[in-house]
Amino acid sequence: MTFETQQQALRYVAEFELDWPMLVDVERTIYRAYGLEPRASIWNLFRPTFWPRYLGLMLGGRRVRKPTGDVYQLGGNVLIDPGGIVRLHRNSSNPLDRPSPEQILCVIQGSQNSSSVLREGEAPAEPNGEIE
Amino acid sequence: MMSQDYATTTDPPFRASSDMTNLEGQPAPSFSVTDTRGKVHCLENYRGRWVMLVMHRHLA
Repeated sequence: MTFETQQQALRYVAEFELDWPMLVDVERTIYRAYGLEPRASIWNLFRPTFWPRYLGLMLGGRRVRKPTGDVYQLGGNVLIDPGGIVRLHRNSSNPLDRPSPEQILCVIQGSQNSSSVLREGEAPAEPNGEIE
Repeated sequence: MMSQDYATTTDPPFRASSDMTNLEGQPAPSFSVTDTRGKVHCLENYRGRWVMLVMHRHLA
């Protein structure tokens, strides 16, 4: 999901050959619904501990472009289970703050091992009707 | 022809606060939004499947 324009999103999808849908939320309605207010500071964006990572990206071929959107808007990751419940909610505190694939898989596997997650085609458990 | 490019949520307006920035364990706010191909995606249509929302920073 992006808050930038359709045109910029299309360019991004083409450049990185994304296989999944890129949703366009120009008004940031959904960003705000999930608690993603633009609140990054210059320090959060460019602190020296990030420089090796940025350098690695550039050396790996990532092109540096002038920012086209709100640079103070950070991103986030939300994992929603088959029952519509949020199981992982990470609003990034800096540009490099993202859950790892291992963390995401751990949440999915942990949820599937518990009985509280609806699996595909499964109906919610009915109360037994007994009142004590 | 592409449908109008706007996103909507059927939930009440969200007011960000320190108490509401983590929604783990809560129902995900529903939404309806268009993708780059003009297709409309509603969260409800993905019931029964795991969904990962990746909110980007700016795309540059």
